[in-house]
Amino acid sequence: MNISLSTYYGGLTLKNPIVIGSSNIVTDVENLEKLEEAGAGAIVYKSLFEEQIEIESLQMDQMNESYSNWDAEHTTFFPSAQHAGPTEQRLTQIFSSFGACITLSYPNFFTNAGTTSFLYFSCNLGVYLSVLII
Amino acid sequence: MESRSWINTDGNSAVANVAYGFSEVAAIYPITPSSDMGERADAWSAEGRKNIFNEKVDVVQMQSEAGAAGALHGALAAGAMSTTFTASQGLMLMVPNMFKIAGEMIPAVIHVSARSLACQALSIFGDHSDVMATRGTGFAMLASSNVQEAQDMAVIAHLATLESKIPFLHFFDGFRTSHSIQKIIPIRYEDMKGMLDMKFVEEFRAQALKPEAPICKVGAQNPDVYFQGRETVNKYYEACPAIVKKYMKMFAEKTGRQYKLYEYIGAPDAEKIIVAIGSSTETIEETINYLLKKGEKVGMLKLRLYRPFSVPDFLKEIPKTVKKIAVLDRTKEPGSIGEPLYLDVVAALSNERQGIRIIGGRYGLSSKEFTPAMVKAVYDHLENNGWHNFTVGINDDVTHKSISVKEEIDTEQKGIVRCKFWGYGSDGTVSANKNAIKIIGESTDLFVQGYFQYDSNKSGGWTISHLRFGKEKIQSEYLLNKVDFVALHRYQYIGQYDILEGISDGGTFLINSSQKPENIFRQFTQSMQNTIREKKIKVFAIDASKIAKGVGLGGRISSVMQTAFFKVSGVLPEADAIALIKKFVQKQFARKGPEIVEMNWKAIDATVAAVTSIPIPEETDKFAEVAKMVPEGSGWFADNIIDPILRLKGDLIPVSHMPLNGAIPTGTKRLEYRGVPGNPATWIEKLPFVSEPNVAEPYLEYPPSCSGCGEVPYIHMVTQMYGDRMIIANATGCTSIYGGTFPLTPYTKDKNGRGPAWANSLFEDNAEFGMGMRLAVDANRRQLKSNVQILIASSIRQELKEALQKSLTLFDEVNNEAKHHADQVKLLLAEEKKISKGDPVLNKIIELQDYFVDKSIWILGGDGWAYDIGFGGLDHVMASNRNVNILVVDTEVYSNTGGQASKSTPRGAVAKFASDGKKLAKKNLGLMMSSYGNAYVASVNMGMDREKTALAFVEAEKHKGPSIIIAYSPCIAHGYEMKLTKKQSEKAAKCGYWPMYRFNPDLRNESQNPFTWDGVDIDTKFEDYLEEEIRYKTLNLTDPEEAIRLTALAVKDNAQRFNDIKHLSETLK
Repeated sequence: MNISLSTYYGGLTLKNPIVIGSSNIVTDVENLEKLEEAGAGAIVYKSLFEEQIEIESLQMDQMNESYSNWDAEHTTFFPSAQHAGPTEQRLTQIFSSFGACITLSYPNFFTNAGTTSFLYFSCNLGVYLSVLII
Repeated sequence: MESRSWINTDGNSAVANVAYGFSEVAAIYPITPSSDMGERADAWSAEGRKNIFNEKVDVVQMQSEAGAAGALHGALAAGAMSTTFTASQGLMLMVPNMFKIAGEMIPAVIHVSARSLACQALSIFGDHSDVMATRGTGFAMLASSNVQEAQDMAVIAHLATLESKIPFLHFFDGFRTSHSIQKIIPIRYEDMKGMLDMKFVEEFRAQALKPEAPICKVGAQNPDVYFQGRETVNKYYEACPAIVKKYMKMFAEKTGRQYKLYEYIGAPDAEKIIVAIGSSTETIEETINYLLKKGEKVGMLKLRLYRPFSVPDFLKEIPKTVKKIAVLDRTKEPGSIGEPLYLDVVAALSNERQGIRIIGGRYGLSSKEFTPAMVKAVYDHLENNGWHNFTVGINDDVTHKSISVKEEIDTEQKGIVRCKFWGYGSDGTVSANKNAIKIIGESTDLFVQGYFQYDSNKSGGWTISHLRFGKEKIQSEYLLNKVDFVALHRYQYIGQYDILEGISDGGTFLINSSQKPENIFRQFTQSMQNTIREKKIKVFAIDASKIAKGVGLGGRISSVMQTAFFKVSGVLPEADAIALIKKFVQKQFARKGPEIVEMNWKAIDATVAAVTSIPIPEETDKFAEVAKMVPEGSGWFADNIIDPILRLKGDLIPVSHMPLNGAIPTGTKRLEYRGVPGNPATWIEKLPFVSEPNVAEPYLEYPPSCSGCGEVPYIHMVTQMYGDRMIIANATGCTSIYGGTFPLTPYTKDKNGRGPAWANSLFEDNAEFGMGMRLAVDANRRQLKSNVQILIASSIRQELKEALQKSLTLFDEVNNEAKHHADQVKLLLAEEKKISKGDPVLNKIIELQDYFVDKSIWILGGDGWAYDIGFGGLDHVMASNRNVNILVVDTEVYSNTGGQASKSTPRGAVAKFASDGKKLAKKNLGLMMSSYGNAYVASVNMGMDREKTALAFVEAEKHKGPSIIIAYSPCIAHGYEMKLTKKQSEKAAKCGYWPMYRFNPDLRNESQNPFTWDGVDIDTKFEDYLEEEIRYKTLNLTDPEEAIRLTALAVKDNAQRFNDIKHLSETLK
């Protein structure tokens, strides 16, 4: 007998109501695949905080400018560039492996959504920062 | 008319913006001070920014300016609107092609930040010697005098070239305009497009080479027709000035800024006028306005369109009352009747306006200051019917061509605030000042100007920022000589430099000091104390380090000093200023989070509270001594040249004190009280294969390179091995700047007075330059040998005969025996001369006696030279059979010009001109050179294995043909703590990134494999090497996917290079 455990969450259909909470096991793609195989209905990916992006961005700027304005010929050493976000790489990997992802809104992000790095981050990925993977 | 917000920008950025807009292709190559233009264009292209045709510009870095000019020519011929940016010797490399482009009448624009040409020495600073040397090419030449004009003339040039068919060279003064930050009204792309008649774009496109409309463009012409062919262009040149005028008029209608080809400024009834071009015309105008108020009848004719020179337009501007003209040229043509502009003016006036006395003079070479007092001196010189061919701004006590300049006059606008900041290398002062003028320029109605000076020492040097704030447009295109506010960010400068020079009455002095307020005044020199008392200077202090640390900003004192400046300088009312900085900080750091904003705000508040007014005691018997800059008794050169230059008073050195050929004595760097001597390679003494080391004394000391520089250890070592018989040909770059910037050189000599002799020709020709040295040494040695043979056959003393015979047997030896014997022979020759009756053979031998022992020729340079601009020459020299040694200190990037990619830059590294990561693998120069078979090749890594490195140097030197050593050289452009260089060098070897090997063709003669693998086994991941370095980290942070892709490819590159060479070392016979 087939019992459907499917349910709805955040506007999405989940195959069952077992949702893996945000924890260290969700941070790499291999684990995510295992969780999916084991039947998880959804996975809450670890939250990414805007502050994280901000601090990394600041660090990158400081890093790139650490040798600037010392000498008439080399006023800078590195081309100016826009920081991409802290874990875009990892998220990109995840999104290419899993079909549906939705974002859970964190007020923090939406109140600060106008900042450049955040926007850049979100356009690049087409998603917002806290994600539910199903 | 437009009314839009002003922006703060420098000349290079303003011009690059216009050039980008109008171009489809840009072929670029870095050279100071033009590099920023190419860098901007490249960065915009990488970001996908669109030009006015709504397309991305294809920006291509070439191997040299000659290459850039060739690519420019090709792109133009095949129908793409193209541009390039250059200066100085770079422009000289474009000259051959400029004749071609102009000869073929192809529209194009070259933007030049005009810079001195290398003559007795190079100079990165500004004058017109480069652009004036191109005036015969057929390019139109359009000049600008400030940042606003540089932007606007760039627009005019791009528009006029398309209609006139004449290519344009647009120039503005290097550093003075290219690097000066000023407030300008930016031009909109839509306005640029609005002024462009697409008909001319279509015409341009129609002449493109294409098989659909085949032509054979530009073959050879013979004496029968070449001359006539050359004359076909005349009517275009005649039409050109009217076309430029047309666009100037159109530009005025669009923007409200009206320009003229030639513009008269001054009294309508002037009798004395100056004719000039470039940024000096701003200073002249400012001085004229001052003199007019004093009732003087003076004026100036300012040139913008220099070629084609329109005589009617020029004459029209000269008032009928003019009786005397001084023409000022910012260049020198030795042996000429006068400099180019002077000759043009004489010719222009010769038929029309006789009876005017015209004299020519030179000023401002290599950004030499040109001040209102000098302008006044020129008018006085005219008044007194002074001589032609004068100079102003220097003291020529040899040929007495210089005119005397009286005290500085303050011609600047009422209410101007002039601020000077003494900073220290990496303390952030310059960055903070760039922020300050941005705040004020973009948030208030004030006009701003920022100009920055830097020490030539690459580490720990001074910086001086010159900032002006005024209610009207600022025309003072000279350093601050009257100062209202002085900030000293580093108290150690007291006693070394004239900190308060030019401070005005009632001015303000802010010092960063951790001393108690009551102790601060006592630490000034007596002259500073007198100045403070006499001029009633207000003195304030702040302990910037303490505040910065306290709020978590670490060692970055600049934002603290910036706030203190706003508080006490009076540029803006304090409350407004502080509110502005806070707003700015919020804007600047908003995306970095509220904590960072908060942290900076805290620093601002803490600073406002902590700025302390320093009491000026009525009397004090305590003061700081004036510091000694060189040790006493160091000799004439030290006292008369080095001392004033180190005190920043080199402008006062007279012509008579200057060496004729730019040369300086070696062993001079030690005279400066700073730096560290460095580490002589004493360890090489213990190596069995090093036969002639002199480890007792260094041949290189106190190199003013960046601290931790990875090039220096190689130079230490090679000089220690061969310093007493070594000639170095040095390519332009870091090695030539820290190796030979006047008046100090780190190269030195031993107790016998011997040491490396060093010279720098150019960037592009160094291998050939060194080869020429080899040829000279060989020629001299041949001549010596043949004369010795003749002398031996004649009747000379037996002792001398035997000694000379021994010299011939030792002729090819370079060991200590040969050296000692050569010294003995010299003594015998001197004795023989006393008794000989002027034997010409003996005299010839004495003339050549320094050549008994062969010289060791070393050709030194970086990867920009070896892999790119100098590769053709290097390749040719390596394919010869001459005994030269090439040392490539490979930093994998153009270090000296600020980190542009070379063909040595590895895949995945971020560099300028490769801002989204270098896409292709590093060129395998070693493998290429080994293919000649006759040349010695080594790839070394001193941080990994210094003994194998030393062995490679010894083998290279011994090899009787050409040798090349490619040396892994850590550089700050890699972006990591330079104290970690050893560790990082080891990683480079252990991850297989930097293979270590030697290819010795001499082994082939012994039927052995010429390849020897010196590398270590791979036991480290490439990623472990990358993660330390900003050049790789940046891409991870900006484009992680691309970083992953390129890293994977780079790992393959490494494996392939490693395996290829390892394979050769195992299999080659």
